[in-house]
Amino acid sequence: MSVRVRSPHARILGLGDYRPSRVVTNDELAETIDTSDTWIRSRTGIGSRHVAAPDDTVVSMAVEAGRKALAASRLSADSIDVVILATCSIPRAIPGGASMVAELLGCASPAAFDLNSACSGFCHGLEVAASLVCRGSARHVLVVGSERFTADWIDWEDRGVCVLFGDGAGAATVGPSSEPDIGPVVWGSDGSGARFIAVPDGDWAIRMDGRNVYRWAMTHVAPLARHVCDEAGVRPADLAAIVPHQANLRIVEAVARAVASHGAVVATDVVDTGNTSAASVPLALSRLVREQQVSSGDLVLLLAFGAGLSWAGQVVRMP
Amino acid sequence: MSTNDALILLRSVVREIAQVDIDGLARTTTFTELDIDSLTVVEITTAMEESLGAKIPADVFAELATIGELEEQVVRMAGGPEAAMSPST
Repeated sequence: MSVRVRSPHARILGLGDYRPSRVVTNDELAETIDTSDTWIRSRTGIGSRHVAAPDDTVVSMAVEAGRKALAASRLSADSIDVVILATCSIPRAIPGGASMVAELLGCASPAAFDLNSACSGFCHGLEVAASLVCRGSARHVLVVGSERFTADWIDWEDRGVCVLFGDGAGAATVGPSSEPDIGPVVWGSDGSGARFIAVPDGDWAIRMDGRNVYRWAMTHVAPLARHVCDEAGVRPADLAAIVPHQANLRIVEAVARAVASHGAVVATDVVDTGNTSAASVPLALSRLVREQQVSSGDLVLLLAFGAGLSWAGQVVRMP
Repeated sequence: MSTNDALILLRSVVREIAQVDIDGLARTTTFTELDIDSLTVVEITTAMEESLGAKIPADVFAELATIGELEEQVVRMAGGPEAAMSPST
């Protein structure tokens, strides 16, 4: 049986993001629900979040982020062989959104599929994309994390949950490389915690057992971060930045302490973006690029975790 | 670790993490009354679980509300089979 021409390695070629224009502050939330800026900030570090307009859909936001990633990587849409849409908040399961993203971007009939691994979806998608490139199944892959929670999945009377989430999309193009610029993935799941973040049977909104989620994160995420570095053969001192899933500033800071890379920038996009699930890592990463906090060639630790429970992380070299 | 030592450790951990002295407080005192938020409760219990080599069941953990309930779990962990097997005992 013949095999396709493979690439020895894969890399990120370009990044893009989309943030809805409407910003909702904690003070604005406190006008309608029993909460306060102090309450939210002390528990989550979140000060504001972007909220989708009615015409900002999971697909439309993914298209905007994808378009920017294509431009950043100087790729035309028809050079994309596969589109992976990481999302858990698309309002309907059928059809998936990836083919519509591909169509709206002008990609020429690529393979397109949705990937639901909740908050860790983008990092899962990055590993799938790298594997496709290395196996010769694709030369260029577009991976997008896009989420719109606020319109369909949030109960605005559930103050423990509604203050956490925001909307947005982040994207990366992945292509062949002669060097290992996307490091080995560390990923896994623990279904015993599936009920900790879920839309329960008969319900319509996301409910969270915040204490058990936080306990899981505080005991598992820091060792995972060190494991990602070990698998990549990268010392913490070699990292230019650390981009944990932006769920809660206290968890982000715990990851940063555990990695103990004193020179690395730590992404804190959660402060004015909230938790955007699968979009959180590429949104935070794109922001570091835009603000010139990382440069081409820099090594960055990505680590995402969330509902499932599921997790995935890798060290990547910046394009 | 004896249950008495575990309770002494609990007081020390709460003092360190939450800057609150629970010595002599009524067992019905809630974390809310002490201005200890839910994430800080997690940090306290996680520290105790690591020290005692045992875990509080998730369902119980989600509902812990008072100092007495936390002490009860600490006593259980200190006297449980996991604790008996830990190197610190």
